[in-house]
Amino acid sequence: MLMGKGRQDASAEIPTASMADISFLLLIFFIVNTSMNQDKGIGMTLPPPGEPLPIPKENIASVWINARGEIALKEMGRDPETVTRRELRQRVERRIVNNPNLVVSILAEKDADYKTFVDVLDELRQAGDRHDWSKISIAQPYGTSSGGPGR
Amino acid sequence: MAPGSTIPTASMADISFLLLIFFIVSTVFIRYRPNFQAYLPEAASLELLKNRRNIANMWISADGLVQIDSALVNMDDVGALMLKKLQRNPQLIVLVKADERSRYGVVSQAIEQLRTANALRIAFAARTRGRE
Repeated sequence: MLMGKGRQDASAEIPTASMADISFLLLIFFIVNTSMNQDKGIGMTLPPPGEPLPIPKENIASVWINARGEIALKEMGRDPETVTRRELRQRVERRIVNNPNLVVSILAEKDADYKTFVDVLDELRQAGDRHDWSKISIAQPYGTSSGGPGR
Repeated sequence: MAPGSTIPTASMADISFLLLIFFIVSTVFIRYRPNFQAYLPEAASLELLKNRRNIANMWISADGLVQIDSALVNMDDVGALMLKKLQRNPQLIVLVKADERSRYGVVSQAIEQLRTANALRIAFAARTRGRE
């Protein structure tokens, strides 16, 4: 007992020489486990479940997407017109200037490519930098494997 | 260098602990491995999704398989599963990682399921488009 006490008094220091090694070991473990690539995406907020709110007709522009990847824009009082992605952006841009409350409704065919859908979404988001893009609506898909516009 | 001179290593532990703390804080351990690889579409107007702890991943393959957290699920169960996740974390953002070749109808069904589960904050995952 006495001997033990005496030894403790002589040197009561915790050895810290290996501290760096220990922490480097842990460091390597965490570096390996960390992935730095962040998820990127087009953020959206869905409307709450239930009946959709009625929107005045003059505020709606519909974008149709069919299974062949063609895009058509239908504005109020006009027939749907096939447009390219660039045209879509330009025309929606023009519409937003005239009507800031514009709601763009995307109607895609069931068999339409998801890629086309994302392309359209992307163009719309770029069309109005300052536009409030909670105003994109995603409508129920129409058609079966061979259906055309309209339901 | 004079013979016998050494590099001071006393602060080595401090430095490495500092780095250690940084990596501990930025590590998220929940990593999921999808059973299939979804080839994400390209887009230009992307947002960085900041808080990874709030993100729930949902993969959709080209042939319409749906996977949430390493498990393949039925389309009808997506809503119930997300509801459970949402109760655990009300700030949940569902990241839809759909393959660019997948049918829109499948994605729409999944979105409809999310809507019924009140998981209203979603994001469509995409890759950054290269310069055109």
